[in-house]
Order: sequence, then C-alpha cells, then structure tokens
Amino acid sequence: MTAAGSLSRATVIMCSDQASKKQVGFGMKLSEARAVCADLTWRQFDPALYADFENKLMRNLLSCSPKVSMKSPGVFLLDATGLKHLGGEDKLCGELLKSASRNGFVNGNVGIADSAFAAIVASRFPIVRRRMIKPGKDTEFLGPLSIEHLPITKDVQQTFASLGIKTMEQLLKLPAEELAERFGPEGMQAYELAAGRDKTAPMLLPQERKFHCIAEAGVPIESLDHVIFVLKSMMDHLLDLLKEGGLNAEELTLSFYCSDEKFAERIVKLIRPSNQTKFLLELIRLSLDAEPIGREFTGIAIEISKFSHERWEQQVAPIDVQASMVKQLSINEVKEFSEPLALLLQRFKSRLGENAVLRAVANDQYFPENSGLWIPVLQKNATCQILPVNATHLQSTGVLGSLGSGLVLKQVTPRLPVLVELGDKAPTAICYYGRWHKIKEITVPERLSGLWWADNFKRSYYVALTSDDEQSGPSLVLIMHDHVEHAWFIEGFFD
Amino acid sequence: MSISANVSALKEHLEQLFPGKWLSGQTRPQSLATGIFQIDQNLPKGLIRQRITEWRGASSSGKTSLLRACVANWCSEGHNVAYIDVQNKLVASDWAFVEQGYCAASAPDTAPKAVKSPVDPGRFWVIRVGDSILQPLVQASWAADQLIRSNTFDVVVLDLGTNPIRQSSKQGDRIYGRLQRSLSHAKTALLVIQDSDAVESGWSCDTRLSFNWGKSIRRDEGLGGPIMILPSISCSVWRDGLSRTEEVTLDAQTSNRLFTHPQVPDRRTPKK
Repeated sequence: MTAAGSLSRATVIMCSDQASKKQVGFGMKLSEARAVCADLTWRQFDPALYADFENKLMRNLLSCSPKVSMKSPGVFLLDATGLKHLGGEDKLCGELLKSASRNGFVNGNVGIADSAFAAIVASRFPIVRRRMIKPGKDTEFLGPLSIEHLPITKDVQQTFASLGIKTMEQLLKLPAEELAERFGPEGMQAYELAAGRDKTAPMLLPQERKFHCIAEAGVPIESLDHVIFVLKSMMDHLLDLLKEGGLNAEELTLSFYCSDEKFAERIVKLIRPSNQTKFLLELIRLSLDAEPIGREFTGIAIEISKFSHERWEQQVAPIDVQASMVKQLSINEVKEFSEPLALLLQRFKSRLGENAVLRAVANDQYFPENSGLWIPVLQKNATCQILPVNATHLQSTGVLGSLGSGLVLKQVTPRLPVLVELGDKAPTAICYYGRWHKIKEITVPERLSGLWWADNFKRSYYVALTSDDEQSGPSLVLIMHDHVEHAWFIEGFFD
Repeated sequence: MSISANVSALKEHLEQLFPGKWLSGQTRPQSLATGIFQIDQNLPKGLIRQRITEWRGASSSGKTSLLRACVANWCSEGHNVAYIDVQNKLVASDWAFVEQGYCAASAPDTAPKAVKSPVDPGRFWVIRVGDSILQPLVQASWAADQLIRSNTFDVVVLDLGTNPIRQSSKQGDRIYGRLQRSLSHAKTALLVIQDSDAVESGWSCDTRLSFNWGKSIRRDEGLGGPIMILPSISCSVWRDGLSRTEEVTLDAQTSNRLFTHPQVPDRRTPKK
C-alpha cells in the first residue's frame, strides 16, 4: 500500500489487490487501514520514482506504436490505426502485454476502441485481459455500462442517480441542451463521452533531450586534478545548454574510459537541482575523493542523466534555518530548506554517502537490536517497516523514561566473544582483550526469547561492573549469553 | 590582580606570541549551559561557543551518558546538535527521544525539561564516518569543519573514540588549526570526546572535563537480585588553570525492554 503525507496524516493513494480484499481503499487514513488490516506494509508515495518508471515504460511502448501518451498514472493511450498489415489488433494486444510484463507490470489490461474513453473503459474489466470493440460500436458497448465510469464528480453522479439515470444509454436519452444548461461543461463532457466521442488522442512522444559530453585525453591519466580544467569547460558547455532551456541538473553520470572501453561509472545525485558549475565540480571532487577510481583512464564522459525545470522562487533566507528544519525530512521537503542546509547535506551525501547523516527513531519491537533504528535523513522511502512508539501516551503515563537504558551503550561491532568464569549462578570474571577482569557487581539476567518459527532467539543479558585494577579503571559492560550458540559475548560498554 | 584576570592577561600575551593557538580573553561569546547542576556550577559560562571543549575518559566512564543528558537539555531549548560518531558505536534506541528533551538517565537536580514549544524543537543528527574508505579521522574532521561552517548547528560533538589525536603531531595540529579557524567565523561550540585516560591532551582547549565512574553505586533490587546497577560519575572540570572534581549521580528508571508495548496500540479512528 502506498500512502502520502506525514505519518499521522498519511492517506492511502494506491493499494494491492490483496489489500483491497481486506477493505483497504483509496483515501483511507493510514491508521484506519492498519486497523482493518494488521499486517499491512506501506511505502511513502514517491511521485518522482513513479514518473521515472512510467517514462521508461512509455519509451518501451514506442516499439508497438509511434504515438504514445499517458492519460493518467498507469493508463497509456496508443494509436492503433494502420496495423492491418502488421498483424492486426490482436497482435498489438499481445505485444503491449509482453512489453508491460518485461517492465515488471504483469497485471496489465488492453482495450481497443474508436475513442480513447471507450478503450479505457474496455480495459477496466479485470477478468478479460484484452478487449476489442468493433469499429463503430463504441456507443453500443458503453450503453449498458454504469455512469460511474464517466469522469464526473460524486455530486453529479448522485444527481443522475436521483433522476433515475444509472447507465450511459439512459444518459444519452436526455436532451443535450438541457444537460448543458443544468450540469454545465461537466455534463456535456459526460454526454459526449457516453456517445463515444472523445477528442483525446495519443501524440508523438517529444524527443528525449540528452546532455552529454565526452573528452578523450589520449594519454593515461591517474588523477582528476590533471584534467580539472577540461572538466570545467565540459560542465560549462553542458550547463549553458541547460540554462538555455531553463533547466537544472538533478543527477550527473560520470563515465571513465580506458582505450574506448568503459570501466567505471559514477552517479552523483543532487538533493537540490542546480546549474552552478562551481558547485557541481565540487560535488564531483567530493564523490571521487570518497571513492577514488583506482585506475588510469584515457577518456571521461559527463552526462546530465536527470534534469528539471528551474523553479523561479525566492530561496529561504539563512535566518529561517531554525524554522525550516521540519520534523520529517523527505527529498521533497529538503528542497524547501535553506541554501546552507541543502548544500551541507549535498556535500555529506557526495563525500560520505547517502547513509552518513542519520537520525534515531524508536521502533516498537521486542528485541533490543530492533528497538531503535538509524534512519538516513535523506531517505526517500521507508526501506524497512517502522512501528512508531506512541511517545505522547507514554509521556502521559510516566513510563517514557523506562524505554531506553539508564546509561548510553557503546556497542561493540561485531559482538566480542569472551571467556567467562562462572560462580554459583552468574559470571564472576570475564576475559576479553587478553586480560581477565573480576566482576564486582552483576545484575540478575534479563531473559529474552522468541522467533522459534524462524530464527530461534534465546538470550540472557547481564549488566556487570568490573573491578578496577592497576591497568584500567572499572568498566560497566553488557554481557550476553546466547543459549542457542552456547557462547558468551560482550554486546557493548556503558559509557 | 585576581587569578582569572592574570590568566586572561597571560592568554593575551600568548596570543601575540602564538597567533591562532591561543585566544584572547577579552571576547566573551555566548555560552550554553549543560543542564547538569554539578557541571554548571563549576562552569558558570557553560559550553562556550567558538571554542573547543574536551571531554576525556576511559571507554566506560559515564561521559556519554552525561553528554546525552546535556544534548536532551539543549534540544529542549531549541538548539541543534550534530554528533560525529567516528567508530559507529551509538545505539539508536538510546537516542530516540533526545530531540523531545527526554533521556533515560538524568541528573536529578536539573532534569531536562520537556520541549517548551512544540513548533521549533532542536534537532539531533548523527554523522557516521566509520564506513568510509578514507581514514575515519580525516573524514570526521572534514565533517566537523563542514558542520561548523554551515552555521546551522549550535553544538557539534566530535566523538573520536579510541582514535585520539596524537599530541603535537602534524596531522593533529593541522586539524586543530582548521577547526579553530572555522569556529572563529561561526557560532558553534565544538565538543571533542576521546576515550583516553591520559590527563594531558595535544590541543589547547578552552575547557577540559575528565570522567570516571564514581565510588557510590545505586542498585535497584528485583526478585532474586539487583536488576539495575548505576554508578555515579566523577567529573573533573579544568578551565582557566583551575580544576575541580564533582560527583554526579544519575536518576534512571530500570530498562523496561520486556514491555515495549505497554499499551494496546492506538487504533482509534477519528470521530466523524
């Protein structure tokens, strides 16, 4: 299920068939959806991602018809005229379904009719994957169908229903002039569509614009510093082309060649579109400093793989930095931030990676390893399911402070295997880093177990205070006894 | 002349002899109180902006727990804090509610207050450099430099862990000089944390605190034995040539991990 909005106000945008069967539907609140379906998985709505996929699918559909356009998300219109000598409409349907399946969309349906509206309605029947309406029979096909297929508001629909108009055939019986007078352009449009007259038509796809530049040095180059002036002039040229079209770069792709053979590709994604040469050059440097090429190259190519139209809006002033750091950061929200913060995040992303800047989120899970997650600040979609902890409720009942440990744990990764000297019931000494440490104080074990059906989990956790000796002071450690592996470990040190 | 005036005059003289390494005592920038009574009473000016403060202690000494209480206090006052975790040791569940002004353990005299205004709480971000191919120390110092220059964060915490900056090393001097220059143009306070028992450090910091576990231990008894052990934390503060040691006792509730679902999930639908 996909939802849009902040966590507390998220509403359902689209959902799978399985979710629909469990009464989850469009427009529902996330909390309502989770109430009716406990094991619901949801993702944040990402229009940029879907637009990208649809664009790719449209380009692929060009092999079936020269005119392709997108009517609405998931609905494509193609020109099916002139296919008599190319196998006919039946073959077209097969090709379209194959093309969609190759792109991962296996539940596609195809409808062919004289008008776009009739074709769209024909494709809505889930059982029949391909439906072809005979030429000139659009009105006959649409007649017995419900008026719910028409693009009219609920109010107009209810008005039609109260007048006893439930099918398109009944709608066509009304005089057009009276319909126009009472319902305005909306009513007229519904009338025209029901009559099989639709002016919508697929168009030729605009030529894909490409901004790329390649430079051949002819001699092996080890470091980018030697060709920085060439890189700068390449960027200047590309960005001048962008500026002419009123565009900003959103993603750069650098390709490195050695004697005409491409051996490395580096993608630099921008969190905020830009067409400034200096800034983009700096990002390229940071990206290559973080992950050096490690090999000589003779040629380099730069392509602006994603771009967008320039937004002619006032930038948020630096004094608004405090107010602009909103609670939930998504890619779209970051674009609204002040310039210094956006540049800072971009620099961190280029040099340290997307997962370098993190925030801590509590996760309502049983096991200590999962009770908190580090979520990247720049994360577009939720890559793992987070069950939010209701902090407001816990605060009101006074137990918020007991959720975390009393002290900060500095974990040891991977966990450190230790030797343990056992007393009556609990360890009396532990050996790690080659030395034995006597235990001065130790708690009773906290025993956790579960997941017997998947990954059996049986652990006992002890908090132990070791005595201070000549070489080191006392340490407070978290010791774990894994009953499945029959081993003792140090999870971390409390600091 | 009083002791502090003598120290200020000495600093000014040394600033003339060694420019960039010593700061003039005439400037008095704004400061941030830690929110912990025992530290604040020995640091009347609190954590000074545009200065480097150093916290040292063994790997397990209680300093990060006190730091968390300070961070919760700063966030509740609307300050933004960035924490550079060089060795990727922090656990997310320990820091999940810090932005809301809560930490599981706090000094009882001045417990962090809840966020005064829900509109603009401070932010707490963690920057991890441990996964980087380049030297973590180089990446961490770069990250600290960028955070300070952005003028977005009130406090930047640089947790070096067991990667101390070597005394009088070229790299250490370079990093120090760069950070000091960035601080002079920003309004950020830099807090450097090192897991080291050594008393002296290589940097000329404005304030130094060192931590150890204290002698008094609080035990919460449960069925069959103690369920929580909470030692006090001994804190030595050094500033302007003066030092003082205090013991801080934390107030914490027993970790309630078994009951992470203390209430039935709230699935109420809004009233129509």
